[in-house]
Amino acid sequence: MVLRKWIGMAALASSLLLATSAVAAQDTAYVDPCLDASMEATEVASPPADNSDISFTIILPNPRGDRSFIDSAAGGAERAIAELGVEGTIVETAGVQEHDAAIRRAVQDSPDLVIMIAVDASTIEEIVDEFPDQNFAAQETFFFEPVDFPNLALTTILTHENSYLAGVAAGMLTRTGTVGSVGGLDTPGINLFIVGFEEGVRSVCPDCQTLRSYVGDFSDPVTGKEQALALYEQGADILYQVAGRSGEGVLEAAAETGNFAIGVDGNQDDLYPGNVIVSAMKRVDNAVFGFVQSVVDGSFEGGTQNYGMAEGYAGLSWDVGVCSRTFDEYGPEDMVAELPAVRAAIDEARAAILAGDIVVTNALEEASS
Amino acid sequence: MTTIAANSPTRQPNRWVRFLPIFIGIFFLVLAVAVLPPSLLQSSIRLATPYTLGALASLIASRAGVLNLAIEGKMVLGSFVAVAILYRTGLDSSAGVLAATLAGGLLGAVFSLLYLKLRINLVILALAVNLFIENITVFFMRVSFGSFGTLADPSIRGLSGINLPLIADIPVIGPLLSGYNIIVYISWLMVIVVAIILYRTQFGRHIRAVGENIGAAESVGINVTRVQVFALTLSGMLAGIAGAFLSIGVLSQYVEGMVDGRGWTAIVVALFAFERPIPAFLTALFFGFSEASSFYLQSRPELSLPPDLFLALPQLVTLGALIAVALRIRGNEILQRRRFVSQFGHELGKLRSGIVIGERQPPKAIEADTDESERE
Repeated sequence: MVLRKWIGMAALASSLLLATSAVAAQDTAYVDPCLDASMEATEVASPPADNSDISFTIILPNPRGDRSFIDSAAGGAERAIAELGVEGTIVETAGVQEHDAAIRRAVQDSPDLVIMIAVDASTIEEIVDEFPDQNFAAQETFFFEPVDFPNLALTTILTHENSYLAGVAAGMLTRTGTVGSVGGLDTPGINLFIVGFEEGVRSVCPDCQTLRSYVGDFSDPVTGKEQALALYEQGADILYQVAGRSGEGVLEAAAETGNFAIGVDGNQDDLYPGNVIVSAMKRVDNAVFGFVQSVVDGSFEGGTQNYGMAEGYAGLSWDVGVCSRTFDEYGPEDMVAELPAVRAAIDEARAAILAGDIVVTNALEEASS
Repeated sequence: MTTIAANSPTRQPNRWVRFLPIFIGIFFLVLAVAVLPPSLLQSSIRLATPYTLGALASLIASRAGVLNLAIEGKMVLGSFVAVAILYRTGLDSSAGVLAATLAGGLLGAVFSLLYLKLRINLVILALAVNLFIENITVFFMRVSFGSFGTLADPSIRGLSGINLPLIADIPVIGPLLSGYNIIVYISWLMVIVVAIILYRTQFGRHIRAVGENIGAAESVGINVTRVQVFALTLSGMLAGIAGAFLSIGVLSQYVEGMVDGRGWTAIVVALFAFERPIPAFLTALFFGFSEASSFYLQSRPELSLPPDLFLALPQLVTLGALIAVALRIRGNEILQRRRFVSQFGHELGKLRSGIVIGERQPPKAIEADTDESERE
């Protein structure tokens, strides 16, 4: 019995030793799952099934290239085409004025599913009602009142919880005790991110000051950059950008001034290596893929679904599956040294949120109530 | 050929009204430098630069009698070309500025040829150019660079700030005047250059003459075509530089839609300044300042006011500016009418009492002396 106990302890010690060497000689016992070979995501290399009789059309709200949720949605559609072997059409529109026409055009071809990304709620209601035989799916649209159409699957990804985790990282890594957020517009959809982020910051750094600024536009990186410079000037050293293409300016301001930023929606860690700490990802691609999958499976049904961190639709770029470690490689040494502790705290917070011990404010619900 | 507008000794008392905006501008400038944080003012100056250049582009065209509503499109072209050239060639960023200038100038020249040779309606032409450029840049970005929406690469270097040797050492205003990239200085220089061209050279007088009355200018032998081609080309070049400022001056990437209506705002700036370069510069600074302060104010937690209020500040300023312009035009009209009545009142009285010509419309200003000669 004694021997077995000794072996157990030795195993524990050696695993600790391994873990510490893996995370650059830290005294915390945090094991980075991404550096553990056994936990690496295994690629499913099965040949695509032939579902070419199934077709879908996805309507993007703006051209691709936001390096954010639109690209993410398009990526999900491409993945569905490649992996599920379905026929897919990706339609990019130039803006809200084209949404109605683009959707109606798509309906003409009567695909099995029309996916609409960030299309205005009233447009969706009108069209879905007009074509009861056409199946629709909508993502990134917020209805003020719950809708129930049998031919509309509506998915909302709630990002307050992963924003909270990003806030934990910012709160632990800030040197000045001031962090900021740059939003696109002062709307519930954007404040969902920002409120969650600020709660995360305060959870680990109660004295931290949080600043907010709104660009007023999602495609104005020039103003985005000037606002970021203003916030850095006011003492913030980490900014969370939730401003679409305006956010490009925020990230650039971080790189230019040697400060830090947190990306959003997509994995933006590699845009400015060493200046983007982490990205709070919104897996719109998973949602799009899920829609197509449901048609292939025949499990498609209308209704509203809220997804969030629990379902893997929202997370951080550090998470298993993405495993971005760019900041570990390029970030300043003193901050990199803290990363294992930060990741341990994030895992703890994540577990507490999933268990319901921490309830992050949902700005969307607050707005509608 | 004395026109009524030129015959105006009575204008003198109203001079202060015309310069009032300038005085107000200078007052605010001094106040701003004294009270506000330098970073806010630097931000204002950076944000004002595209407006300054765009307003110069707009006013030089208007002064030559061509309504140029294609500033936005030319800015988009400039911002795209600057980044595209740097991305392709890897040259120094000043090559991007040069390329943007040339591209804008070329577009301006083409624009002028389409207008002067084919006589296309200016508004339609400008809107077509804006739409065309906006979409052709997207097309090239995809076809030539294979990128969607954002053209960025670590190899693209933005323009770096230049510290002016002596000026940077001046205590308070030194940091405000120094440390910007080359385009900011170009914009200041261009304000002076355009002012000199317009008011101190013969060619400038020709430009203004063409803008005031194209028929009259032509009749005295001014080459109207040359003047308008020159004005539109220069206008295009200025707008091109303004675009380059956005893409490689502030940022170091091209993002679709990044010009974001600044070309249109620049036209408002020029209108507000009554198409004069130096007031246009001050107006642009004011617009830049209103934008910069809008986000300096909203990130102050202690104010705890809704951020939308501050975000609307630039729009409110624009609206206010347009109202002020409308009031000034109206005021000028009233003043001119009074002056006209005081000068020609007795002749009008004669007209009314039916001494001359029953059916004719009252004579227009420019035809005044022909009418008189006819009468005699």
